[in-house]
Amino acid sequence: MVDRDFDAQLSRLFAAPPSFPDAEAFRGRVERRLDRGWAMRRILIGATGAVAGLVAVGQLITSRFAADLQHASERGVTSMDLGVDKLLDRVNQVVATPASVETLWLGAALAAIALAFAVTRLVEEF
Amino acid sequence: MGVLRPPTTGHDVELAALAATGDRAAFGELVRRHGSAVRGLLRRLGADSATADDVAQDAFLVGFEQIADYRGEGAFGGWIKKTAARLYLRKVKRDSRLIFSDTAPEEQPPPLGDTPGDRLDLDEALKGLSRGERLCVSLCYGADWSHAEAAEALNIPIGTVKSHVKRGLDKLRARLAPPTDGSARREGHG
Repeated sequence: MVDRDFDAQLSRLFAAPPSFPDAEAFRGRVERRLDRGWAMRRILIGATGAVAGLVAVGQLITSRFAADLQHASERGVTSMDLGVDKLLDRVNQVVATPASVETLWLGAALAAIALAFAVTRLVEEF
Repeated sequence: MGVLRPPTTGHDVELAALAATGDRAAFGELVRRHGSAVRGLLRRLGADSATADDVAQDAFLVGFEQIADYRGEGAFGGWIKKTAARLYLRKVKRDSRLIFSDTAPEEQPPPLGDTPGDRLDLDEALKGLSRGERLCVSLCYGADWSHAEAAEALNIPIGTVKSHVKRGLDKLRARLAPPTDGSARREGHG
């Protein structure tokens, strides 16, 4: 009986939370970390979207390049040297100069959107 | 950051359901209600105040991530305290600080006072327990773990948990309750 009483007393003592003068500050710290986590998640999603957009642009460029190469092949280019030369020329063209003005603008727009999104999130969250 | 109006009324289960939809204000209210209990439990498990607060914060963040798993079968306070205890044990294991011994406690408790308030200071009384006794007693009584759960989490035999609890209770009884000649048992807890 005494044991049971002591058990109950001990359970009551454990159930009674101690009082902390900084309880509200603790809550604030948890909420800030929660907010920061959400902000980071949104930024990550935005960055992932931007990267995906850039990859899409890259794919667009390379697919045009592949189509051109295939077209050249279909025209009956028989000389391997000639083909290699054309390929190198095309690679140089892609690397050295923009494929087109439209592509440049598209890439710039995507980058600007991603940057604006990230800046907006940062300003809102911090 | 936008100002969110936290709901200050409602049952924990309702707030948890709101939090599961992403309502951080509702979860903030749960933190307000149970933050001190979680911090207190971690201190009673043996964490210093900075570690206790860090782990308590982590526990609430994990709780928010996993809030959909809480279906209201038990009290939210018990659920979040179990999460906190698990995180704390993981931390002490990682830091290789989980040492079970029957040696004297790291800190000797102050002598008993004469007033009832002194005699009922659980936190002071816990300081008189060894590390293992303190962990086992606090897990079983503070976090409502069974002996089996504590044994599994601490990776020790259940018999060891029971003996730690028994010795811990004997010491606590001596400090918290009027002297008796009986010995503590909590067999039903396992």
